[in-house]
Amino acid sequence: MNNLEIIGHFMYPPNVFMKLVALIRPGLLDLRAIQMQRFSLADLPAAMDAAETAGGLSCTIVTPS
Amino acid sequence: MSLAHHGLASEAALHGPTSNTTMNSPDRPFMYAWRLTGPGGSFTYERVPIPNVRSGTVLVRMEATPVLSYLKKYVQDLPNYLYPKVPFTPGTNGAGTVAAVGGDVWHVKLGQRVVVSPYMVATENVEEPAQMLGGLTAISPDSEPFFTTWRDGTLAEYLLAPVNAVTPVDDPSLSSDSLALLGRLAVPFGGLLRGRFSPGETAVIIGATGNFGSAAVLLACALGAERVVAAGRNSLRLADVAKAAGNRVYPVALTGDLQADTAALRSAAGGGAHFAFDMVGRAQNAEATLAGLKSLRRWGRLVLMGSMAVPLPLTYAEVM
Repeated sequence: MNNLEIIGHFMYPPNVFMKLVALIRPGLLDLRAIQMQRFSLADLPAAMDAAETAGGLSCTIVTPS
Repeated sequence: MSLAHHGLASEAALHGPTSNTTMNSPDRPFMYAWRLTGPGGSFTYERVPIPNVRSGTVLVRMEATPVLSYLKKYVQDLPNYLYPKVPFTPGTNGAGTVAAVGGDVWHVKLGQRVVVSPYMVATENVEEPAQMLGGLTAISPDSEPFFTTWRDGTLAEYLLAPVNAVTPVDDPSLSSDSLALLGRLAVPFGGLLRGRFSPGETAVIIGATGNFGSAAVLLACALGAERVVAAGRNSLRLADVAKAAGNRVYPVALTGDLQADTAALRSAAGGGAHFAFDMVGRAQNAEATLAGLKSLRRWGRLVLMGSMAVPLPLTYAEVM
């Protein structure tokens, strides 16, 4: 007998972003592990191509100019 | 393009004048936003009106928006997503600065930097309030009117958001680019919290090379895991994740052989895991998820946050 739990779950509680910031500020969670590549918002089609082929620990960001 | 076309004029009429709001709207009435007419439809960068704040909302000047790995496929047409039936701005997460504050907002201030979340749940006190992902999809047919109202997402210069969809962050040392990454971490954090992941435990992450799975590896380490077993099919990408996440991470390349994979996971977990996380999207078979389940020690928890195209078969006595 194993007393296991199988839990289906969707998304997160409303305070999750505060908890994340609280882990980042003292250095417990280091966002530098995630590589960022940046594009302008107007260049979204190029950013979509880049995001499609990027690895798990990378993130494609677009920024309004 | 008229205001009414975007549903803005009618909403303004519905909620009345904005005399009770703190206004500091941008000095121009128009912005640029990406507009999608529907799955497979036209997707163009257009000049559109900046929405007016109304009660319970804030206007956010976007500074960084992450691009979903599947955004290109989503624009072309993805099954199982409930698109708005009218043109809209895609885009889920992001970070920006509050440019205008509506009435009935008590804490969020003009000029404050905020993280934007797409996950909205209707605030009425009912058993099952409608839920939706702004700029992406309704979740169930009953959420369609809710989603139609809040369909416009973050791939725009400005976003009108219900105030409970933003979280203020006052620390100037965190860039808006960094804050735009947090949505990626929030999803697995939700599962780790739900499954009561605790310091000193060992976690097995199935699907550890994906966007959410690799974030789950980072988070389990941050939350004090003794070991994190990063499991996936691509051994090169697993090695990258293990290298980035540190020396408590043990990569295991899955073969599809349930017995062998279970043994490899249990061995990497130091005998068995306390917590297993299934993060595989659109799995075509149950083997990897079952290997995660079978890697658990007694009293272990398996949290499911991915998706699977086939049923998940369980052996009653193994779970009990």
